[in-house]
Amino acid sequence: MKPKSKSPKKMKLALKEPSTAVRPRIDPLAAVALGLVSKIPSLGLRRMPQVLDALHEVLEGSDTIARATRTRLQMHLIKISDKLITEPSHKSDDTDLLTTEQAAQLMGHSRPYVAMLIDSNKLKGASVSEGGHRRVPRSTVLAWVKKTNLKTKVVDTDYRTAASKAGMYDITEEQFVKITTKGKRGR
Amino acid sequence: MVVKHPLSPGGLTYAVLDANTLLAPRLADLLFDLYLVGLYYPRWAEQIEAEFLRNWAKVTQSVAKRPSQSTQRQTNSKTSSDRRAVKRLATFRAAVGDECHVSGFDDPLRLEKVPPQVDLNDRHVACAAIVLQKICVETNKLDQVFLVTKNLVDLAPIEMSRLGV
Repeated sequence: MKPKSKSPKKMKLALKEPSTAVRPRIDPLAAVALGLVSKIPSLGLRRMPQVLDALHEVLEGSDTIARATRTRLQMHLIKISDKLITEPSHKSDDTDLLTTEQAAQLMGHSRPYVAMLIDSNKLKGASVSEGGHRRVPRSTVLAWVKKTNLKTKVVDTDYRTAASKAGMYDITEEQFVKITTKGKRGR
Repeated sequence: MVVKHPLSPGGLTYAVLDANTLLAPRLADLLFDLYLVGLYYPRWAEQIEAEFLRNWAKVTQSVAKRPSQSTQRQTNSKTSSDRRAVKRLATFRAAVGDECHVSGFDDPLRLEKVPPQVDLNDRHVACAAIVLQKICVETNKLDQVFLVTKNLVDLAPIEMSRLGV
């Protein structure tokens, strides 16, 4: 009986030692333990240290089961974060106010360009605070993106052919200068 | 981000192109070629485009009066000539992208900031440069905004440079 009773204690210590050695001063699992005891009334706040120890034991073991648990947990956390980023609730879509930088990222434009659109009232519902901070509703930005994506973009960038077809090269540069500066003061 | 730029080290270089530089075809070609090799970002405004079209009409009328070139110019009707000038502007816009236009320069409060030495007809150009400069330096203090024109005197370069252009 004696060896049997000693062996589990030793195992427990062996599991606990590495976990306490690497625990940071602010325990990231403390918030999880607190959440668990507050959600399960039968545990009570007094049980929090035990719950915390149990969490460390489950997650910090070096065996295959502990490794698999950690991997599954990591994947689960990534999935939750992604879902929150890519699928914001409908409510936040309408009321969310974006900074110029956030709007510029969604619109695929530079920050100065978006700031210029806000300042010239081209983005509905956008505002500028007294401190000069610009904000624009997410719904406005999404509508703008949709509208500009629908527009047919002119892809002809051949400005030389365009000038040639317009007969612009038939006219000397001197004539352009003379005509466009006619009536101006001598300079 | 251009770091070792000859005109604005550590920042981006922008230039507001006046209508007279967009109109002169060889100069405009050179200016857009310089953009395509990464020297700077050209900017202008819808009002500058309108001035381009007005001045193009004046140029074609003036050339049509000359007997030596009248035959060739008269083959193009006024409307087709205008349409081709519009096409030239469209290629400029397409080359630079949606950000080519400066907006918000016609706001009376912003126009007030234009130095009084700037000619009345050029206030919109000066204001576009001031608006662009103010907004760009909010993102990066090392960004530089220039104004390219054939009409330097009317744009009060000393007063404009005091405003950072």
